[in-house]
Amino acid sequence: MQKKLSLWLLSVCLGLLAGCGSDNPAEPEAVNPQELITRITLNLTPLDDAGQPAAAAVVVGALDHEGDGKLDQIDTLMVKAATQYRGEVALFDGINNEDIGAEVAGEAEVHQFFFTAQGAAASRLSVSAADKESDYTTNTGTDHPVGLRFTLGVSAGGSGAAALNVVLSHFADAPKNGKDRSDHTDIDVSFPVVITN
Amino acid sequence: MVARFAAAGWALLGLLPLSHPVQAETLHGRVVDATTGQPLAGVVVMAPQIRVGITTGEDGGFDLVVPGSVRGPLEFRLLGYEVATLPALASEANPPVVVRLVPAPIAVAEVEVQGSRDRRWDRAQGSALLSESQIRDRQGQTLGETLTQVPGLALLKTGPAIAKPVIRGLHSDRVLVLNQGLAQEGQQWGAEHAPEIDPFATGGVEVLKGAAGVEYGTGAIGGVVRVVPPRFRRTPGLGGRLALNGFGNNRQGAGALLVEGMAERLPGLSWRLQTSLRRAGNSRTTAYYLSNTGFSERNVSAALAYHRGTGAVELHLSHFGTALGIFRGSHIGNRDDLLRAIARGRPLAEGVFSYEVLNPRQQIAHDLVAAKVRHPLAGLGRLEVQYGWQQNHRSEYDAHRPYNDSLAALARPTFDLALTTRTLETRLEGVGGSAATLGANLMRQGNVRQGSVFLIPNFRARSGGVFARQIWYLRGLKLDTGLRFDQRRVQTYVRQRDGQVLARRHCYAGLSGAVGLIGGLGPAWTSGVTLGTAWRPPNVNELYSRDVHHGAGQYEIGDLGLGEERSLSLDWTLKHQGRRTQGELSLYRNRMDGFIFLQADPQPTVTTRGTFPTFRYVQSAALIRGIEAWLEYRPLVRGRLGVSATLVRGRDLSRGQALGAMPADRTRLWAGVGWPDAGWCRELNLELSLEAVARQQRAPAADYAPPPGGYLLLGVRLGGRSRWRGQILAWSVELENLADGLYRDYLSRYRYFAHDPGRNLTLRLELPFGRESEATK
Repeated sequence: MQKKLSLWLLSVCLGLLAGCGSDNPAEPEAVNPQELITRITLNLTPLDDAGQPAAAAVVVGALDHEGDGKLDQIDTLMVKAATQYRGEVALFDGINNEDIGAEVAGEAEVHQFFFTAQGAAASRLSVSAADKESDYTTNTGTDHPVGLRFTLGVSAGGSGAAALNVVLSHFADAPKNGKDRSDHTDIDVSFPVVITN
Repeated sequence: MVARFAAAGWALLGLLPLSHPVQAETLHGRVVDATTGQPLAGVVVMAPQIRVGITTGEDGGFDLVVPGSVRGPLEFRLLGYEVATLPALASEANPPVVVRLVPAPIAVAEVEVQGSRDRRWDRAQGSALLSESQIRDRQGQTLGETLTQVPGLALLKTGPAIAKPVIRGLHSDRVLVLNQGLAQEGQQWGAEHAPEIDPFATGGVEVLKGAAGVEYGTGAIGGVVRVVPPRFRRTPGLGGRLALNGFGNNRQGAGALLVEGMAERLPGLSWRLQTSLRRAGNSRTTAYYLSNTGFSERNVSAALAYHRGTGAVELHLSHFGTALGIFRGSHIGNRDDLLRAIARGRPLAEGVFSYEVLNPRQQIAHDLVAAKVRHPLAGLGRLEVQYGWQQNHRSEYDAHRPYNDSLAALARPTFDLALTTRTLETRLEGVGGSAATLGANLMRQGNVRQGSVFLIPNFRARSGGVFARQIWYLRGLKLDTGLRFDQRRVQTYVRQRDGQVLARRHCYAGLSGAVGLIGGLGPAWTSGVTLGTAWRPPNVNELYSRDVHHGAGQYEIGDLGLGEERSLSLDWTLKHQGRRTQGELSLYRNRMDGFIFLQADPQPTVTTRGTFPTFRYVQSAALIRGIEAWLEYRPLVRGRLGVSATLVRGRDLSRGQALGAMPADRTRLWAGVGWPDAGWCRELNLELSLEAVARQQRAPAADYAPPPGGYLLLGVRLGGRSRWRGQILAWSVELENLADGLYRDYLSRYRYFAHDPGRNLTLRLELPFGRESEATK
């Protein structure tokens, strides 16, 4: 009796095991793409006194080639003293070939760019957002800035060195108030800035 | 036989005498095995006429209080022994009696099946055994929480749903959790990955403090938590129990139903079906709710067994499933975000109560099949063969929803791991009639990952081990020796970010050994010394991590060159079981060579998401020392007073600094009073407790925030057994953190962002039906 029963139990057990899925780690894994931001571009157009483009735009980028999050390249921003610039931020996912900037615009109410001048000549740079949530989406509540478009002013003086820190905050938990950053930072890069005469 | 089972069950219900003594007299003595002279624990000592009973302690000692008028015989019963009777009662003035039990030739076999021998006396090292009724009385929200009162054990918590046992300062890959006799193979490396075990499905828990590498292999370098499965029904019929738990803090409801039976026609064939459900909402600190800390759990298990003589065949199937929220305030972007959150000290959003589990969250399923055969081999010993299959499937979802709506709609996990483990273990006990055990085991494991987090790659691991253990008895001393060899081979398949797969092979091998000596110091004391060495291979995440660990806000880098980690430990344990006092004291010293831990790298990692502090896995010599003790005193028959204390000191010897994540010094005081029969309730028990935890003074300087301050927690618990519609209903009401204090524990991973939960009211009800022990009532 005991032998029969143990055989029966064993066969039940083996049957159960046969039904279990594959666990072969050598097989190529299913690729499960995640969204990344691999290129952050600042596009700065110098303006004349009338607020019209005075020269070709200055374009600088921060790049993550492999999509591992590590910053592989960051360009230096060359700006002229005593000049106003009109700026735009572009975000791109090079792995999945997607324009993330457009997605941020679509979710303007839960995103905001924060620009901070840093370094020795920080006081000569003034940066502020030049857009509102209502520029991109139907706005409800207070119409806070977004920062996809901004202005950069460089005051007069000699040459100097500074840095421009760009942070994109995602407001998932706490509501956006237009002033404070959230604890969910999607982007945080600092572009070196050189001011020339 | 039935009567014996019943007597044991009845007496185990409580250590207090069940009747009210008038002019009480105390009889004390000790029960030993007539042939070996070994003390016998768990012997039922009874005065049958008046139904007064007690069980012997670890040293075989007992104290029985009986009314002075009784002059009848006392009975001593233990499975596997002839019943002994003591003709007359001795009075308190008389010297303690020694009762010798003669092994029963036919019933000896039953001793093995019932496991009524006290295993604690077997172990020279520090250990704790929680019985099924103790577990039920203390049942918490997780398995870990149920064990909190074991001295030397602390909890590494990531919110209310995730609690990992920390034994003598070690956890995760260094503590083995055994479920159904199988080493639980989940993603144990993660501090936020709790053991996937249903707290309702336990028949008891044994905690081994310190290395137990000989018996359990490479995972047991710091200790073992052995979850004992519930016992099968031993008499024909149908029975079961319904258990209901409620936790006020997070408005949690939990329930479990167990139905079991034994075939009338084929005695020995028993079965058990069990299921449990649990649902919890957001936890609350004194000042605010912890958003997204709810969880839900669904578990089901089935078991079938056939016992005959000393042979047995057992099959067990179980599924554990949980979906749990990760506190939103703990999910941060980069280092600056972390520093802002710490400076604030509490979450940005106050939170509201909700049962909803949102992102970030974890979804885990653990399936287990265990098949065991025990068979006596004439002249060779008792053979035990166990086959195990386990699959652990873990999906982790990031808080960050993809910008792309179509990608977001797929709601794919950020990180998905499927770990499948097959094991075959054989063990031959009592080799050739001696006290020797031989064992061998084989394991094959495959891990498949998906997602974009590079913390652990695909791998295939194969391991094998052989061990031998021998026990010698020399003049009341017991010498326990063991030696084991283990080998582990790991083949990894690392997918590069460009899609290429790199295969690499790692091979580790080593010896574990232990020598333990136990001796009795008088009738009430035993002392044990254990010297042991154990090792573990580095885990795959320690070799291959290369990504941001978001919960910690840090970039972690593995090292392919890591070697084995080895411990050399010395443990001295003193156990006492006296007339009015009992307790245990352990001192230990654990030297670890090649201790693997995360060390801060001076060079931070710069990413598009900001700057992250960088940590690398390194190896160093470390020393962990500690003391744990508890003492309980019963000044009166009904009352008891107790104290326990735990101290752990960890040091990184190479760098001359303290080791991180060591539990802070703590002590617990309790005072209890019991009424054996309060009329409406039997075994009514009231207990007050005070837990005091000091600030961790010895922490590494490289931490985001200094260790939190000490705290005091007051608790009260009332419980008993009442009759309800002819059934015995076990109930208890417990209040934890009575003063509703705001505090943080050093081992809480949320301590940077939030406080620990506030006051909690727990209600527990258990209604057994078709009980086997009904025959005695």
